[in-house]
Amino acid sequence: MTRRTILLIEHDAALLELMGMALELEGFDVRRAGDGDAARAALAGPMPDIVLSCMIMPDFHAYDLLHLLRQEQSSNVPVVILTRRMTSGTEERLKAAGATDVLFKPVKVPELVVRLKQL
Amino acid sequence: MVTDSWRARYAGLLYALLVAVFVCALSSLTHVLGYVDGIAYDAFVRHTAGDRPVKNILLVESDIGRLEAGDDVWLKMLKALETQHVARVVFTFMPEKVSAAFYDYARSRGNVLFGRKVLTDAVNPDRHVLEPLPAAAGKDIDFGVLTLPVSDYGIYRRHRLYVHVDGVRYPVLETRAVQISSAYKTDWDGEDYRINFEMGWGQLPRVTLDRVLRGDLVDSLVEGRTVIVGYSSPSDIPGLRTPVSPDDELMSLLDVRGAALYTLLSGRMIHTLSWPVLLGVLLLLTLLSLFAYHWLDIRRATIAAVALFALYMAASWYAFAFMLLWVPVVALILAQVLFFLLFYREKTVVNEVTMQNMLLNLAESMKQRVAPQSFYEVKEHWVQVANMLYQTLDLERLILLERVPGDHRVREVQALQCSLDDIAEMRRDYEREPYSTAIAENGPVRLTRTYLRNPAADEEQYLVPLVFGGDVLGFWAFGISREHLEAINDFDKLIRDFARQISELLYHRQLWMARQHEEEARFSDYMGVEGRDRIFSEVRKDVAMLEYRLANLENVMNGLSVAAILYDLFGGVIQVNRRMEDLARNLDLEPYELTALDFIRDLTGITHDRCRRMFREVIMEHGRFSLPVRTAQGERMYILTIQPLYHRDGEQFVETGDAHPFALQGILCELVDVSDMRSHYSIKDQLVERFIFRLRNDLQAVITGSSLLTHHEIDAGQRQHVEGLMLRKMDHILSMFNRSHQFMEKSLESGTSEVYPLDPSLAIRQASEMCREAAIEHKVRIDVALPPFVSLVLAEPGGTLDWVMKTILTLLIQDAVEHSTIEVAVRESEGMVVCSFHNTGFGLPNARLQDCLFGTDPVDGRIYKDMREAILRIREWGGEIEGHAQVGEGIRLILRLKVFFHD
Repeated sequence: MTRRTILLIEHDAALLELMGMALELEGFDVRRAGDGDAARAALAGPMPDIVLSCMIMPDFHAYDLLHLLRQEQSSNVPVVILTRRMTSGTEERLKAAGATDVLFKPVKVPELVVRLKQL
Repeated sequence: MVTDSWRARYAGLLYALLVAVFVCALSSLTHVLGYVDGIAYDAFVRHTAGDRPVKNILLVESDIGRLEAGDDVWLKMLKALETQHVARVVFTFMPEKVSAAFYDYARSRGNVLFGRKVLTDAVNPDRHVLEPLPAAAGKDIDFGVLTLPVSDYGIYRRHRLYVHVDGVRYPVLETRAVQISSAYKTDWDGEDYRINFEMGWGQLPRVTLDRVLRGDLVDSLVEGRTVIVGYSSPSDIPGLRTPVSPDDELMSLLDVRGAALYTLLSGRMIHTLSWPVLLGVLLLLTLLSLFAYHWLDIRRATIAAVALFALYMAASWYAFAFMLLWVPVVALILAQVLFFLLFYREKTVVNEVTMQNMLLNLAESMKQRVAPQSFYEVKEHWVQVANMLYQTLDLERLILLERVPGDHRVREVQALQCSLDDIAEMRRDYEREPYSTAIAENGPVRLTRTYLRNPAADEEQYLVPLVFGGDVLGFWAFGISREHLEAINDFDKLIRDFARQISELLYHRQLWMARQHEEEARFSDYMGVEGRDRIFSEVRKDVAMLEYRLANLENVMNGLSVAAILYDLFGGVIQVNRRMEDLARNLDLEPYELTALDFIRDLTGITHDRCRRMFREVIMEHGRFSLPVRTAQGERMYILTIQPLYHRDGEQFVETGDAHPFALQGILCELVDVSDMRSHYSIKDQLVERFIFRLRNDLQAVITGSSLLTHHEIDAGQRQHVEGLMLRKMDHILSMFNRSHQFMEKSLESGTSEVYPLDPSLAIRQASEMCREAAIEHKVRIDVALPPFVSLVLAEPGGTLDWVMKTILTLLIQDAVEHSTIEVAVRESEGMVVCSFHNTGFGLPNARLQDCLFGTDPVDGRIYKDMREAILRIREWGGEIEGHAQVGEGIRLILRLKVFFHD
C-alpha cells in the first residue's frame, strides 16, 4: 500500500521529532519543516498528501499557510491545524480560511492518526 | 430653675394684670392721660356734632346795656314768654332795676329762675358769698348759682352740678333749672357732667330780646322750651373754648349754658367709664392680646396691634355716638402698646435664654464628641509634643506657656533644655512686651532682646502667640541656631502651622482642666461680670474647634485617593471630593448638575431601571453594590461602590423586608481606580495563559513520546532517543512551572523595579498609540511588523516598558523627515526578543549618538535624558540596546530583551 505523505510543520524541534516518528510508525511518510521558510520550501516542491501544521510559529501563521495553499497555489490538499489556543470561532475561522480539520493540543496519537486516515 | 419656669408660665398673665391696673390708675385716678384723652374726646365731639335739632332750649340774647332795664323790658318779656307757654325761663343774671311786681310775677309762675354770682366777701377775701338778692326780689326767689364750666387744660367740656359757697351746697343755675320740674331725672352721679355739644357750633335756637318784646315769635319756638335769657358778649368773659369751637373761636357763655341745660333737660349726659369698668375692659383687652400674641410673631403682632387700635377707635366712636358713653380710647391704645412691648420683650428674653441654652448644650455635645478626655492634660503628652518640636525643628531649647485663668500672667506647661526661671522677663505679664508684640503680630516674632537667659552665640530666639478661637491661650518661646533656622524652608509658615496645632492642644487642655474645676468656677462666675459674654466666648471657641475639625475632614476627603461623592436620600449632591471633580471633568460629566441616578447611569452605562432598582435597595434595604466603570478609551478601569451611610446611632442593620429610610444619612459613591491592579492581574493572567499555551506543546510532546514508547515497532535506539526528548520536555515543563510560580507569587506594586514577564508586542502597540499625536504632528507614519507570536520578556511592569518604547519612538519621530515611515520589527533570536526601530531622518554623526545615549557628560534635550534613563532600565532588566545613526539617513535602535521562557 502506498504510504501517504504528510508535511509536518512545527517549530518545537522536540515535538517535530516525536510527532514525525509517531506518524512514521503509523505508516505515513513524514516531511518535516521547523519554520516558515522550510514550510514554504517544502510546499514549493511536490505537494504532500496531507499538511499537518502547528497554528502559530514565530515566523509563520496557519492563516499564512492556508493563504499560500488555497489562494496562491490553488491547492485543495487537506490541511489539519493543531492549535494550542481554542477560542470561540477559531475552528470556524480556520475552516473558512481553508483548513480541513482543527485539533486542540495536546491530542493523543491514536486520535490524530484516525483523523488523518479519514482524510 | 423654678423661677425661670414660673416666669415662663405666668409672665404674660402678670404683665396683662399689671398693664391693666397701671393704665387704669393712670387714666382714672391720676388723670395723667387727661390732656391726650381730651384731644381725642374733642375730635369725637366735633365729628359727631351737628344735624341734631334742639327742641327744648331757646336762647334770648340781649346786649349788656339792657341789664339796667326795668319792668318795661323784663316783665314784658316774661309775660310774653309765659303767654306762649314757655316751660321755664332762666335768667343768667339778677335784674336789678325791676320792681317787686316783676319778682312777684316770676315767683307766681313758679318756672322762673335767676342766676346769682359768687362774690368775694368784701371783709374777708378768703370767703365767698353769693351775690345779694335785690331788695325787690324778696327772700324766697328761686335761683341757681352762676359758675363757669370746668376747664380741662383750657377746654370747657364739663359743667358743675353743684357748688359750695360759704359751706353751703347750692345747685348751679342749670341744675336748678332742671330741678324745678319733677319731670326730669335729677339723681345724677358725681359733682359734674360732660356737656353734650351734639347740636354743634352755633346751632342752639336763639332770638333777640327785641324780637321777644315785639311779640314776633311763633308759638312753636317758645312752647315747652326752656328759655335762657342772657347777654352774649359780657366784657369780663369773652367766650369759652369748647370741643366744638372751630379753630380759635370762642363760644359765648350763654351758648355754653344753653348746651349744658340742654344736656340736663334731654338727659343726654355723656357718661364716662368708671374706673372699675375701665379696669375690666383693659384686663379683657390685655388677656385677649395675651392669647393672640402667643400665636403671632412680632411682625404679625404689630399688624394685629395696629388693627386693634383701629378697632378701639371704631368701638369708642360707636359708644360715644350711639350710647353717649365716652370710652377713654387713649387708655386702651396705651394699654395695648405697653402690653405689646412687655410681652415681646419677655418673649425676646426667653428666646435669648433658650438660644443660649441651646448653644451651650450644642457646644457641650460638640466637646464630648470632638474633645478627648484627659489626654491633653497628661504630662507625658506635653513631653511628647515638646520633644517632637525640638527634634523636628532642631531647636536649642523651647518652653510652652499658658495663660493663668483669670490673670494676665503666664505659667509653664512644658519646657525642654530650659525652665521658667530662664525667662529673663520676670513679670511674665502678657499685657507687656514682648508678649503684646507677639499678640499684635499674631505670628512668630524674633526677639531682639534676650528672652531666655544665656543664649548661645548664634542662637536666635522667637516668641509665638498661641491663639485659638480669637483668644490668646499661651505662648511658645524657643531658641534656634542660625544655621538650623536657615535650613528650614518657609520658616514662618511652618511655625504658624505648629502654633495652630499647639493652640488647639492647649485649648483642650484648658477645657479639660476647667471642667475639673467646674463647681468652683461656677461660684466665681458670679463674682465676675463676664456673664453671658463668657458663654459667647465659649461658643465661639467651640465653633472655631468645630470649623477646624471640619476643615480637616474636608481636607481628608479631598486628599482621599478614591474619588468620592456623597448624595442625600433624594439623590442630590451633598459633597464631591477633589478627585471626583477631576475625574468627572475628564469623563465630561457634571456631578453637581446630575442626580445620583443620572450620574451612575452615565458612568456605568447600566439601564435606568436597573439603576433605580439598585437605588431602592440601597435606601430601603441598606444594600451595597459594586459596578465596573471603564473610561471611554478603556485605558483606566474603576470599581464604583455604592453604599448607604448611616446615622451614628442607627448602625443597627435593618432586617430584610423592613424599610427604614430615615436612618440613612446619605449615599456614598466611591470610584476606586483598579487600573493598576487590573493591569497587574492581567499581567499575571497573561503569564498563566502563556504558561498553559507552552505547556500544551510540551504535553503534546510527552503524550506523543508516551505513545511511541509503547509502540511495538520502536527499537531500543529510538526508545532511548524518545526518552531523552521526553525528559528534556519534562525538565522544560518543570522549569516553566517553577519560574511562572515564582513570578505569580510576586506582588506587583508600581514604583518597584522588579522585573516581570511582559508581552513586548502590547508595549509596542501601546507606545505607538502614545506617540500617535506626535507622529501626526511631525507627519510621519509608524509601521509595526509583529510576528504571529512573541515570547514574554522580562521588564518592569506598571507601564515602564511602554515608556521605554515610547521614548525610543519619540527620538525617532523628532529626527524623522516629513512623510516618512518609522519601521518597527520584532523577532526572536537566541533567547532574546529583538525589537528594531528605524527611521528615515536627518540623522546625526554616530559618535554623537553614542555619546548622547551612553556618555556621562550632560546632554541637552529632554529626549536624550529620557533615553539615558531608559537605557539604565533596560540594562537592569538584563536587556541591551544599541544605536546607529548616519547624517542624512536617520537613526536605528535595536532593543534586546530577555525572553522569559522559550516556546
